[in-house]
Amino acid sequence: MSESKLDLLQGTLDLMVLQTLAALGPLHGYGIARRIERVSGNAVLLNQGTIYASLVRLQQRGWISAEWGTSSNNRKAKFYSLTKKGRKQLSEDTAYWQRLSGVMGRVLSMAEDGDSK
Amino acid sequence: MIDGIRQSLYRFRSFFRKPQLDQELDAEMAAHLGLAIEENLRRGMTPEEARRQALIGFGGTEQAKEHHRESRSLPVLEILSQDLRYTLRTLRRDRAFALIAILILALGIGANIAVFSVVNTILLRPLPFPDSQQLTWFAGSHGQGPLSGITYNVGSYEEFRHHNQSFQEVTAFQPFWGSSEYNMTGHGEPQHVQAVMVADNFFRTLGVQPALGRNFLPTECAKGAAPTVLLTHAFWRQQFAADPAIVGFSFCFLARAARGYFRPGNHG
Repeated sequence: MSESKLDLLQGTLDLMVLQTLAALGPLHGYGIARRIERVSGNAVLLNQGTIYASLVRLQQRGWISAEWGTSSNNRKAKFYSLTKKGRKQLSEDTAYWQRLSGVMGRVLSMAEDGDSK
Repeated sequence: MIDGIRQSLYRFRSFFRKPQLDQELDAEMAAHLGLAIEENLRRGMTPEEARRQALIGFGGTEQAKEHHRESRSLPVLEILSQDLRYTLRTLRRDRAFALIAILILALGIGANIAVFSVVNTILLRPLPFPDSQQLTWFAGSHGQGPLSGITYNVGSYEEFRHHNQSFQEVTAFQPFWGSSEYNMTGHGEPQHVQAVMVADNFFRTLGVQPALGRNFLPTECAKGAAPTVLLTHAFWRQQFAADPAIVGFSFCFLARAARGYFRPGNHG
């Protein structure tokens, strides 16, 4: 824990939420936040509260839908699930991120004296 | 595009459903903390510690709410409505100031309207003739002095008209104040009327056709010819009850005594 946590880039949280819902199915805000923390190995700086801004954004775009339900330990919570449109968006955004991180990786691993070829 | 519109609509609607959405978010956040505390208890924390850790993990609750509002609604509109409420509160508290501010605004708006109406009539609105931008007014004496001082005499006008090559027509009217007042007799009670003497081609140049009868003829403009009149629509209706048989009727126009003829400063 001595290393400082990663600040999330704009838009990355939305994508993480989509992927979490795609992998786990309908889930409440707390479940999504905990899952992201666990999968990232507690490396991202995530105030769990910020997840709700992301959730409302995704909902307004029609990528996820929400419904009040009961959790496994009998607690009322709002459950979010991926819509068809959200699934399509997720695959587009995933492809984009993979391309971008591939390019970033190549550019940043450029040797010091090498030209760009 | 459609998504953008849809999102804007959502945001617009959210602005008006603020209390309900805030309440829903509060319930959701309470559930979140409840779930977190439960998990921490399962991990063997004391109730107090479980709650503390849950709150730390969540981050600032007020901050999260603010974030939520910004994302779901229209921050500009929210700020605007806040400012508006604040303004109204301030104005209500300080009535004298509010009254003066409203008064100044009213006066300012009123003055602007008055000035604009004048500017619009005099400068902006074109003259009510076809192709009025082609009309030019010749002013004598280099345009110096009052209206009656910047005229030409009949001889000069006839020379202009004779040698004119630059304009389609040259015409004239008699502008002197008071020189155009007559007493009209021959039809009911004698009437005091205002008339303007014009050259025979005056209305033709302006592109105006009489609704009844005909325009003036050149022979009617010659010296010694019998005077002819064209009536304005308003006068025709008021004096002759819009009688179309008035065309060709004779009246007697008597030049009034030169009352006001040389009245100084009256060059309207």
